[in-house]
Amino acid sequence: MSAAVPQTDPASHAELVTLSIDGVEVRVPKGTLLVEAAKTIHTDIPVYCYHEKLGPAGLCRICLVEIDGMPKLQIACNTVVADGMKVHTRNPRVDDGRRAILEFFLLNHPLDCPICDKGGECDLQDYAMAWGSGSSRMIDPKTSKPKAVDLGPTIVLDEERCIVCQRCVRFDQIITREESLRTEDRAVQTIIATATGKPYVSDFTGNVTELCPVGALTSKTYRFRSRPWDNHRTTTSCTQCSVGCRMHVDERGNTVLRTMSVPEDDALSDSWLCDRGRYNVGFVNDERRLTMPLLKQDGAWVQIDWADALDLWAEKIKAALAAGGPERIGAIGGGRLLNEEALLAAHLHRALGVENLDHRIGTQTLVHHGSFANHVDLENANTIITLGRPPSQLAPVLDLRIRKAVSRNGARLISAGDYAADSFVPETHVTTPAGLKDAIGANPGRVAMIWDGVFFEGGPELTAAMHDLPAATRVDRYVLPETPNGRGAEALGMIPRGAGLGTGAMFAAARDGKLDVLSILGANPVLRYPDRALAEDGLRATPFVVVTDLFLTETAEFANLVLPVCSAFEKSGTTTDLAGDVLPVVGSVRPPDGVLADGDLLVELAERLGVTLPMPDELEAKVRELVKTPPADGAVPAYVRATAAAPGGALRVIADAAIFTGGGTLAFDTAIRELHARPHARINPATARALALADGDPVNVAGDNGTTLYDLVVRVDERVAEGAVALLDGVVRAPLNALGRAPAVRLEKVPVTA
Amino acid sequence: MSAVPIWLIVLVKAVIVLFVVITTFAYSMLAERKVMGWMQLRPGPNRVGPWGLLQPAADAVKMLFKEDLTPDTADPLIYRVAPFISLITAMGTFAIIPFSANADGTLWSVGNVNAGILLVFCMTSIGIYGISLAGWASGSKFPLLGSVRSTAQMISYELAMSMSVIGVLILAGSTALGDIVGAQYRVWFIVPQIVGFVIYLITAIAETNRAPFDLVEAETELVGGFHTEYSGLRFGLFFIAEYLNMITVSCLATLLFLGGWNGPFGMPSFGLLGLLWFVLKAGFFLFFYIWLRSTLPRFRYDRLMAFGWKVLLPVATLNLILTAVAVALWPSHA
Amino acid sequence: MRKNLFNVGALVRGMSTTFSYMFKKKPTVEYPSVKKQHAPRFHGLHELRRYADGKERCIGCELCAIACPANAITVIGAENSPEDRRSPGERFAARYEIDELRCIFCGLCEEACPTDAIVLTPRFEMADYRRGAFVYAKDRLLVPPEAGVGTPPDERPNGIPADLGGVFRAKDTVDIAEGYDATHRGHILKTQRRGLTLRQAKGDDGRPGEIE
Repeated sequence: MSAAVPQTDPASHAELVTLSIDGVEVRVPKGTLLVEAAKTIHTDIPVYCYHEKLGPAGLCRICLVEIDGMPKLQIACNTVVADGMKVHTRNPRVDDGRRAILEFFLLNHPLDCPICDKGGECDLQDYAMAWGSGSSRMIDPKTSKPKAVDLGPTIVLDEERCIVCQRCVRFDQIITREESLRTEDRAVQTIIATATGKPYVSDFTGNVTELCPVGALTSKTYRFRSRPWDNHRTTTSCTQCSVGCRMHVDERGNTVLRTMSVPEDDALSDSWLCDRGRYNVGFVNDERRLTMPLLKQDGAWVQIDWADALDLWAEKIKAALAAGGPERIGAIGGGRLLNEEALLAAHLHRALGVENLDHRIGTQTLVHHGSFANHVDLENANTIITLGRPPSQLAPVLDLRIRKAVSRNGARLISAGDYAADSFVPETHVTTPAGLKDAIGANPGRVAMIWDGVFFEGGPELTAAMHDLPAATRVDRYVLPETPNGRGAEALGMIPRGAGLGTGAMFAAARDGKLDVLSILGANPVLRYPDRALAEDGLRATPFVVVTDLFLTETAEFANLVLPVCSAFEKSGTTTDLAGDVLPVVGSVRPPDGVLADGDLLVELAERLGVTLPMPDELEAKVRELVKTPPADGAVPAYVRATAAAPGGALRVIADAAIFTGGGTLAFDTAIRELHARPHARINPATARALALADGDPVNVAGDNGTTLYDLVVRVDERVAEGAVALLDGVVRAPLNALGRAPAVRLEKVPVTA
Repeated sequence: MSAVPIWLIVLVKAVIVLFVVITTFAYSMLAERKVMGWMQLRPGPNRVGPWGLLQPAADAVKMLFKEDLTPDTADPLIYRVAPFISLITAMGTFAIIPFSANADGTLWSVGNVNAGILLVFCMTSIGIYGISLAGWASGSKFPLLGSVRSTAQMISYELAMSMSVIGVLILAGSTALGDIVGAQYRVWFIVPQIVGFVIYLITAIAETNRAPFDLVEAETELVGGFHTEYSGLRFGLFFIAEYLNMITVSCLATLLFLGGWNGPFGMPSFGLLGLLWFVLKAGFFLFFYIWLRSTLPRFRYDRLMAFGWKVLLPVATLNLILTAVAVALWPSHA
Repeated sequence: MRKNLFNVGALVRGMSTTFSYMFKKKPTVEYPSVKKQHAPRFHGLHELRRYADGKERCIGCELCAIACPANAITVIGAENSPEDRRSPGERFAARYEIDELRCIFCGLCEEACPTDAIVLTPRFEMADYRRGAFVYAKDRLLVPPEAGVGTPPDERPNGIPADLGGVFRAKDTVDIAEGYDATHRGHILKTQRRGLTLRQAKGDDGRPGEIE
């Protein structure tokens, strides 16, 4: 039997060393840790503090192994392999050492496994079964500590159970760089705590519950709800944003209980999940889910039969075709649908001659880019330039790559324009073309450019330096779609071609009575379209609006017919991530009775309209082909963000993004209400001084169109330009788009009463 | 006497006989369940009424209210008529069975037919049609197998049965049941015809499809044989017919071999006393049937056939010949 | 064949055996009117015990559910709130359901229970006309507070004191009236099948028999 060949990058010609582990000869690159070398021959060495992505810490000492020639047992996680090393991972001496270490762990660890949430998937439990002595020599009572310490809105800490492996602390230091967790006190009193007693707030908190090898850190949404053996696990791709992290979905009794990261997913998620992807699952089983088609009659909703609803839809389309032709029909959406569904929607409408198709409902103009650079490329970039809204809020897990590239690979982070990258790593924030040119410098190395796809005034001038790079420079471009499958929807045809109208033009046409039927497929333009008044007017003026959604969203309220559809946990297909890869989406639960997927609706509709759709077996190949086809150039900006100063002392508005915003799956998820983003108004300290506002003050924002947003929280932030206010977009309670397209606003301090 | 028309007399008699017979059926069924229960160390039915005495009524109600199913594959007319064939022929035999006699020799029967025994055989033979047709008309495998078995079994055993009875007829010199009983005034035919009696006993069980010759029903192999598909009242009719046949053959055994209503040892008995003797004797046969059922396992089909053709028929024929020769040699004795 | 057919002696012996059995004493226990003693470790209907202070012993750990070879037990845990503490630990069983039709009364749940919460009592009369009635939820499994703490498994009574044969009389609870709908799975199906649920007050869904 040949020695196992370690999985190394074939391109690297790193020097190999030969050692023997349990008598098996292993060749691994120089510098490999013993615990990793053992994995190549499928020998698992127990670890608590060590983690592949966090590296060694040498805290727990459970990974003891015997190495010939060394008098004492050594820890495998922090021992680098050497040529000729002879390692024994299982022998009486090693077992004895591990037994002793486990006895130490269990001195104060409560033995309430039946109560503990980790029971059944706990490393301490497993190793105690494997190496523990079964009894303790401790005769004193165990140390008692608080059992349920609220660390923040998502995490609860059981201090008694903690074995102080510090994985969570190191995750917060090494991976997210946010450094909000730390250890306090000494010896048996050591606990995990947040810095200065603040709540543990981060967009990646959920990962610590997975890292925790014991049941010390638990998620509030999953606490005591189920046991690991109850859950049926499905592996799918997250459809909350365009990163598309691989994730496990644990389901019990047709209820989605939790999602877990996939440790092997190095390509996309790097084995992390953001909190939106992890915790925003409660909507699937929300009682407010629609289950029957609703027809608006005399201003009231009436439940109707599926067949009648589909007949009505088809009838209206036929009537519009007969009366005014295909230009009187439009369809918006696709960015939240699966690839297959987006393709069917585009195919169906194009077959009828309809060109009024658009998946873009927000401020974004461009999604699809010829670039297929992926996450690993980003990690290896030398200079990372972000343009527009920060990636940490549009594609959070992608942002972890930026942090990794900067903190560990020595990359430079430059943010250009109105927005700072805000990635917890050193960054250079530039607002002028010259500044950007200086920041990039003469030798940028490998460049990665991350853009949110929104055109803004002065954009071409600002980014001129980008086109001035040395000729051989490799530039990877990333455009972060606003919708999870924006890239797929665009590639698959949900964009206007020829004389077709985009979203805004469709609303304008609708307002002018030029549209008869408007189908909105899984989109919420009333909340997301930059001009809410136009969207509302357009929807109101359209004789027949169909909306497919899970809930009665802001947009659905304007519909004539609302069709309930499946969530992404209830259907299978593919989605396209921001790097242009087609990812599988696998359904894990049954939809509520009678609810269909958007794709099923489109198939039914096509049948009624006499349109032949591609067969299911052709779909995948077609999707892959179209997704890999670079688009024709020359997107006309549908929306241009103003950057000029507002007139007359008013403040111009910068639209902030946050991962916990939106009116659909988030607004209808009551379990994570605490995580919903609170609408804020970020202003420059100078502006704050001028307006006599301090951090945390409540303010009202009065727009120039007469609309006021009430009760926002002031955040003073020097990275916001003077004369500007950054307001959060997509908040149901204070919708930014109600202020109009390019608003100038005034802040009014709310008088504090009592 | 002459004032009352003959048909009314017959009708009244028939009604009385039917009532008695049906009651007998009901309680012989209960008796069977009780006796078999005891023999199997169970108490038997004891929930309906005192000692379970109302069990037959409960069963009747149950049968009446059960759904009467006809399989799709059945021949509907024959399927429905078959149970009536069985029942009518089973009841018909009671028209000529004398249960006792007056001192002047008037028989206590509905009708006195001089070829009585032949009529009984006719009736029981026709009754087989009910079973055969039921199995065939059910349009289902198991009933068909049951009916095929019943046909074969009836032919095989009816031959031996007839042979065994002819000995009695030769001795009595008559086919009228009253005369046969009269001929046994001194000595019951069981004595000279012991072989015939045993053969009759065995074949009678086979003819009535009772254990251990119940291959026609054979729950373990054929689910229920010819009446697998029957339910409710129609099943009940087969059930009644089977028990009536049991009673018939018990009565015949009493009449042919045990001196009918005569007491033993030439004890003369008429009227009610005769009836009591008759009932006792017939009752013993019924009990014997039940006893046998709870003791013996079912025959294998090939052994049933072999037994019928290779043992019973030769022995019965031999018995007949010997009887005939004996009567021919010593006619005075008869 | 010959031997078998003509072995009249065997026939007579058989007949005499059955005949003599007619007069033997019948061992039948006439059950509803006469009740027999149980073996001391008889496994009957389950019971969830309490501690002396009235707290539930069950901590909702689901070890019984995973030990159950018939998959008869459904447990859904929840967290104790400081105001309404149901069990000593953090976890308690928000729902605890045993489908007694699936149960094979093997007692493995009792063996698996770390707190001696679930025990099998000698009660066995559970007959009912509705399948739903056999899904025993906490309202019928849990020892009522006024009835003490329940019997520990190793102190199971021998025999039939008083009504032990009879199932605890909590029959006409909401659960029974609603049958399967009241169970966890049934509830999921029911709520998901419900049509328009917008702005509809909870409980206003036309459920029969909201007895409180």
